[in-house]
Amino acid sequence: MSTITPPRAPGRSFTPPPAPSKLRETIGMLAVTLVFALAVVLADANWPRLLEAPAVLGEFVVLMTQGVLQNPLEAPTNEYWTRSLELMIESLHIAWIGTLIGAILSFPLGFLAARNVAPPGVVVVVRQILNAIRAIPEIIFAIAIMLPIFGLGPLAGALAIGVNSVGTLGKLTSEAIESIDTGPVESARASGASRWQVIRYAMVPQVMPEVVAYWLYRFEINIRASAILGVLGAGGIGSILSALFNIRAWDRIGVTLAVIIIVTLIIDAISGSIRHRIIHGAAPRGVRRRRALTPEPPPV
Amino acid sequence: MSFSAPSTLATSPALPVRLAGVGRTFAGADGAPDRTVLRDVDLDIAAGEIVALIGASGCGKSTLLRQISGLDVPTEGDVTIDGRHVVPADQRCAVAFQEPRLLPWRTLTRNVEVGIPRTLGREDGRQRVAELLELVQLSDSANLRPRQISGGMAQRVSLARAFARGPGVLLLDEPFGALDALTRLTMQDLLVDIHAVEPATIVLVTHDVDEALTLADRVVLLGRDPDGAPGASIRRIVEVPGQRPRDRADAELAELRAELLDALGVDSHHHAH
Ligand SMILES: Nc1ncnc2c1ncn2[C@@H]1O[C@H](COP(=O)(O)OP(=O)(O)O)[C@@H](O)[C@H]1O
Ligand SMILES: [Mg+2]
Repeated sequence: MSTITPPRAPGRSFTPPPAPSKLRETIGMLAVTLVFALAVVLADANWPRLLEAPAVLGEFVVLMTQGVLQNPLEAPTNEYWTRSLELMIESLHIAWIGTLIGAILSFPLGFLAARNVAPPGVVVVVRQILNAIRAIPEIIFAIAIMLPIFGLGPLAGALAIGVNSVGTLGKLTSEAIESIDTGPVESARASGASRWQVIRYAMVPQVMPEVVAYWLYRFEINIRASAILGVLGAGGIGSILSALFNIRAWDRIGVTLAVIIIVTLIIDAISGSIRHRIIHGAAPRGVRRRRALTPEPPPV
Repeated sequence: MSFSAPSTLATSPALPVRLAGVGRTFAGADGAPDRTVLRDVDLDIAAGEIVALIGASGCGKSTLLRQISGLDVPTEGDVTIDGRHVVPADQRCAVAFQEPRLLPWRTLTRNVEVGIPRTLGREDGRQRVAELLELVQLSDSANLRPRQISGGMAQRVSLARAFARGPGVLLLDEPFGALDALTRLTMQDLLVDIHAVEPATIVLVTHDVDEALTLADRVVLLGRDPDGAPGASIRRIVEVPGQRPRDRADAELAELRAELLDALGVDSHHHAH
């Protein structure tokens, strides 16, 4: 029995590059924040002091470590921990709302950017928009677009993160759509389903697991972004960091950084395991999803 | 077999199909040479006729059905249904694919529902789905999902989905291929019964010569000319005598069977007396 292999939509290859190490990413993010902070601290410095930087940095690290090692149940250290945690949760909220905005906006755009759904003209235009969004970092969005309209604060941060997420999420969604199995789509079409029904019955259920996994992945990235945006005044954990750098409260900075690292790693672990379950199915019932995809999306 | 027509039929009348000089050449990917699969296919199919399409595996039978359904476009020639050109995914046709191609995330009921014309009301549509599942003997499995059923059951769901619209032209690509022998005979009878009550023009691909002779008015043999140009064309058309339902043991049919098997290059072990 021979089977027609329908021409597959040109899609991405199914072996995304290996997962970036989350720990490295987190440390990298903190390093950037630290450099930011040092830049603030050393802004009034003259050049010769730059030579002392390594020594000064070592001193800071020692101070920060002391902060972390102090008994967290005693005042004032317990205050540091709870306050940092509160602000970290605010950062999570900002990231969550931002991701939600990104997911909602990117979903229809993903379909409009998919060659097997939208007419070529629409695809070209939407892809250019997505490319343009991806080319601009959140920070620029936050400073240039959101701050003037909404003022400094969590809303501006969430919107900046949301709009920025649309770029990558839209692209990944369109690629997932282009690489779907055409069999069900064609059979629905041939059975008389309308274009809208074909999308609803044959396409959306097929791409949904992959797309939700991308949303979660993007949430993980957005947590880091919201922490950094906070330094600029968008609320959350970043805002206290910049305040602490100004008063050079190194022990408190140490506690704050520890909270960021711990919470980020915990969320990554949870989100990563959910993504794995979505893509590979829940192991106990032996249910296998559509295809065995490598759980990590391509780097964005 | 007793059979009563579904009460909610929304059947469109059977429509004539005409293939004129149809050819299909696939462009070679990445510098590979072009591949001519079909050439010069001329065939007139009367409204309500059943045509069986037989031929070696890979000779282009499924490809020919795709030209009629408008899921593919011929590179040569024209296909018309009822005098009008076929349009992409032509709604006058219904297709049962060689693979069942069900939607894995929908129950059998909801899969058949995809084929129900939207002009039919909600209640009527629901009733028709139930009747169709009853016809293909799957009422008990109506709420299962495709991964919970066997290949033969899936093929019957696909058949019910194709019947759902009461199409003018019904294109069936090896619809009984995955069925066990007994179910296959039952389904063949069912097709004859449905066709008697609800006549559609049917083009049926099969590799079973007996099935072709039992069901069809004409059997069309598709194949390549060994010395000719590349691409399969119609090698032979056989009129099947008698009325349906036909006696599977008929002697005249046995002659035709031997002839067709011979043309397919299969030794039939049949010796004419
Ligand atoms: N979309 C396609 N692109 C290229 N070649 C195709 C395509 N569809 C079918 N073919 C080729 O056409 C030939 C006939 O296929 P098919 O119609 O499925 O044969 P059959 O149904 O008779 O077994 C095969 O050799 C197949 O490789
Ligand atoms: Mg075939």
